[in-house]
Amino acid sequence: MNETPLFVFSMVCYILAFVGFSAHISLNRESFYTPSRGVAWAGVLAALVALGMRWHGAGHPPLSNMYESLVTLSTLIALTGLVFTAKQPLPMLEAGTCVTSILMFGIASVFSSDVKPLIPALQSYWLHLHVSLAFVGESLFAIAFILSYLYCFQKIMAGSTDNKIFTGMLDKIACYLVVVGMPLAFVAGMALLASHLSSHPYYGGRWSGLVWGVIVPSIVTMLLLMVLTWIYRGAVHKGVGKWLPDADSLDKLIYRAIALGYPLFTVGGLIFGMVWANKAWGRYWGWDPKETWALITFLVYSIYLHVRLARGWNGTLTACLSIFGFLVTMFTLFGVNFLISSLHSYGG
Amino acid sequence: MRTIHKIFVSLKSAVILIAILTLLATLGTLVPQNLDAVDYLKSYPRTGHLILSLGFDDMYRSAPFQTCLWLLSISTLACIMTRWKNTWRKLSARLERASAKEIRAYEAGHQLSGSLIESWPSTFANVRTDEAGVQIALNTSGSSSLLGGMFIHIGLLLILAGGLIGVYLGVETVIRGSKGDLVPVPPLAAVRAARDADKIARMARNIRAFSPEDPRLNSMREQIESLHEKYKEGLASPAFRIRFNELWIENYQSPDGRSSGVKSWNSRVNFIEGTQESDQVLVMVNQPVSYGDYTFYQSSWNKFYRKVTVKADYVENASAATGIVVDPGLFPVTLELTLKEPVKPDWAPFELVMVDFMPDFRIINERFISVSHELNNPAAMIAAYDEAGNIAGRAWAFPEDRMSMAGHVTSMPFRFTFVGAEAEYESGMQMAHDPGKPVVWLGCILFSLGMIMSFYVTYRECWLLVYPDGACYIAVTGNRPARAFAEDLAQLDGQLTVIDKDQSHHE
Repeated sequence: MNETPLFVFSMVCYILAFVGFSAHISLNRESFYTPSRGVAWAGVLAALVALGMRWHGAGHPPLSNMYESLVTLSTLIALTGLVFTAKQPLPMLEAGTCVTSILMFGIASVFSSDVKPLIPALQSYWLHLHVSLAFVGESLFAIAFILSYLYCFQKIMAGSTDNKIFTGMLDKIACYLVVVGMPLAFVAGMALLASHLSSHPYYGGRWSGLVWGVIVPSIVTMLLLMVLTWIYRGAVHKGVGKWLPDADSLDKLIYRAIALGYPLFTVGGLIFGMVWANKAWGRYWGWDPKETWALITFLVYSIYLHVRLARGWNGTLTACLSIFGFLVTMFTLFGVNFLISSLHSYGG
Repeated sequence: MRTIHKIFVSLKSAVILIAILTLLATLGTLVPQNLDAVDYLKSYPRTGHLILSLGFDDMYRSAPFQTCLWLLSISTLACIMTRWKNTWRKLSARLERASAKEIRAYEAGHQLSGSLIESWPSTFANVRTDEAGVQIALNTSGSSSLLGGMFIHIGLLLILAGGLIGVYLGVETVIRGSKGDLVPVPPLAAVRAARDADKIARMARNIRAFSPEDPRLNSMREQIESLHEKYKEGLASPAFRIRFNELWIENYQSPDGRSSGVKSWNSRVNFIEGTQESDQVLVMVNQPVSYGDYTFYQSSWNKFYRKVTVKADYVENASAATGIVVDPGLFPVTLELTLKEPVKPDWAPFELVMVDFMPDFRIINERFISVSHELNNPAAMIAAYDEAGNIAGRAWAFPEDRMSMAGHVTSMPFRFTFVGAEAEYESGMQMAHDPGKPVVWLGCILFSLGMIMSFYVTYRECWLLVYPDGACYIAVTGNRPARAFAEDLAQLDGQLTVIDKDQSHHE
C-alpha cells in the first residue's frame, strides 16, 4: 500500500493546526487550542503510521536517504513539539513546530521517494540506533531553535514599547537579525538548493517543485505574516504577552530543550556513529566531512552549555547560540550531502 | 606558574579553545585535504602558500589543530582537578558548609504551613545546630548527578588521549587479494615504517614544490629509503599470511529476477602463521575479524577480467599491405588471452599480448575509459610484437555487433572479435591496529554515563530550618530550575506538618 496519501493527510493536519494555533493566539480564543492540538496529534499519528508502513514495505527503517530522513525528522519535530508542550501549553511553539514540519516535508517532496534496497554498509542495527537517536536529539534542537526565535521576537515586541528591554545596541541588532534574518536565510538556502538541483541532471526538473512548492509559498506566507503583524501589532503584542512565558522562563525552556537533546545527539549521532564506523570501516573516526560536522554541532552546543551553566550567561546571546547550533545541525544533515563529498553521501 | 594554571582552569579559555577547534574543523571540511602542493597553489593562487605553510592541507594532523587538542586536554585535566574539589565538598560536607541565610535565599522555599511534627529528626538523614541555635536538617537525593560533570570531563579526556595514542601508534592500510592468493601481512613495525615513509614523502613533495633544491630533501630521501627497506623486510618475514579462499557478491533481486544493486560482499579467509593455519573465517561488511595485532574489515571489492576469449579472422587487404603470408583456410580461430601475458599462436608470425581490457568502455575526451565492472560494452586492446620485440601492430577487439568500429583501429592482418571474458573478484580489506581504541571506548562510556547523570538525574536538597523561637522554614534546591521543585516543596511541607484531625475530618 502506498503511504503517500497518509503523509499528505498529515501535512493537511499540520496546516490546519497551524491555522488553529494562529487563530487561537491572534483572536485570543481559548476554545481553539485543544482542537488544534488534536488536529496536530492526528497529523503526527498519520505520519507515524505512514512511516511504519514504509518501514514494513522496505524492510528497513525510513532513514536511508534524503526523502526518508526529511520525512522522519519532520514527524519527530511535530511529535517532540507536542510532547514538550504536554504539561505547559505554548501555542506559539506548537505553531512553529507545525511550520517546520510542513517546510521539511515540502523539501522532502523534491527528492525521490522510491524505496531502494540498503547498501551493505547500512545493513546494521546501528542504523536504527545511530540515526534515530540523533534525529530525536536534532528535533529537540529544533524546539530550542523555535523557542530562541520566539525569545528574540518577544524581545522585539516588548522593546517596541519599552526600549530598556534591550541591554544594548548589539542586543537589539541581534534580535532583529534573528527575527528578520532567519526567514531570509531560509529562502536564500532554499534558492541555493534549487540552483544546485537545477545544475544536476539526476534531479531533472525537481528544482521547480522546490521553487513553487516551498520558496514561493514561504515568501508569500512570510510577507503576509509580516504585514498582518505590522497592521495588528497591538493585538500581536498582547498575544505575545499572553501566550508566551516571560523572557526568563523562555530562556530556561530553551536550555531544557538543549539539555534533553544534547546527550541524545552526542550518544546517538557521535558515539553510536563511532561504534558503527569502527565496525564498518575499521576506524571509529576518519575526519569524514559528515563526522566532522557532527563534531562541530556537538562543539557549538557544548559552548552553549558551558557559557550558560558555568558562566551564567543567558538571554539573547545564548538564544543566538542555540539558533546558530540549529543552523549547523541542518548543514550537517543536509548541506554536507550536497556541498561536500563524503562517505555518508548515500544519505543524499 | 599560577598564571598558567589560572588560564587553563578558566572556563573562558576552554570556550575559546573549543571555538578555535570548531573553526579549524570547519576549515578542514572546506579546504580539500591531502592534495599535492601544486594543486593548492593552482586552486588557491592567493591563499595556497598560507594553507601549505600552516599545514591546513592536512588539517587534522597540522600543528595548530594538534596544539589545540593538546591545550584542550590540559584544560580538561585542570577542570577535572578543580571540579573534584568542589564535588567532594558537596558530597562530603554539604550540611556543615550550609548556612541558614543561604538556605533562605533559595527560590523554592517558604515557612512551614503548619506545626512541625515531633518526629521530624527521624525524617532527615543529617541534622546540625549552628552558632545561632538554628537546627539545620538536610536530605539529599540523586547525588550521582554531582559526579556527572566529572564523568563527562574524564570521558572527554580519555577520548582525546585515546585519539592521540591512535594518531601516534595506530596504523591503517588496505590489503587486496583474489581467490587463491596468499598475501603477507607485515609486522606492526614494518607497517608503521610504511606509514611514516608516506608522510615524509608527502612532506618532501610539498617542500619540492616551493624549493626544488632544498637541502632537507636529501635527508628525507634517505629516511624514506630506509623506511621502505624496513617495510620490505617486514614483507619478506611477515607476521602471518592471509589466504583468500573465496569472495562472493550477493545482489538484490527485483521481482522480474534481475539484479538491482549489491546486497553484500563477503570473503572467506585463512590466517597462516608459520606452520599453524587457522580455521576458515568469514569477513563481511559490518562484521570484522581480528587476528594477531590487526582487525580486518571487508571494505571493498573489485571485479576484473584477466582471461578473455577472442575470435580472430584473417583480413586479406591488411595482409597484402604488410606482406605477411598466412593460411586463410585456418580462420576463424578462437584464442584465449591472459592480461599482459604474451601468446605466440601457430597461425601468427608474431607474439600477441592483451595489453588492456575494459568491460564497459566509453570514449570520453578521445580516450577509452571503463565506466563499470559489468560486461556491457567490452573492449580488449591487443598488441603484436615481432621477433625483435618491436610493435608490429595494434587492434581493438569488440563484440560482434560493434565490430564496425574495429576497422578503424586495426593495423594487423587480423580482425579480433570479443567472445567472452571470465570475471574474477578481488577482495579489499581494511587492516587496522589502534591501541588507543579501548581508551576511547572507556571514555565514551564515561562520557555517556556522565551526561545521563548530569542531564537526566535530578539532584535534590531538601532543607528544614528550625529556629529557637519555634519558627520553621523549608526549602528545596538542586540542579533544576526552582519551578521544577514546587511539587517536592509541597510534599515536604505535607510530610513535616502535623495533620489537624478536626480540619482533616471536615475536609
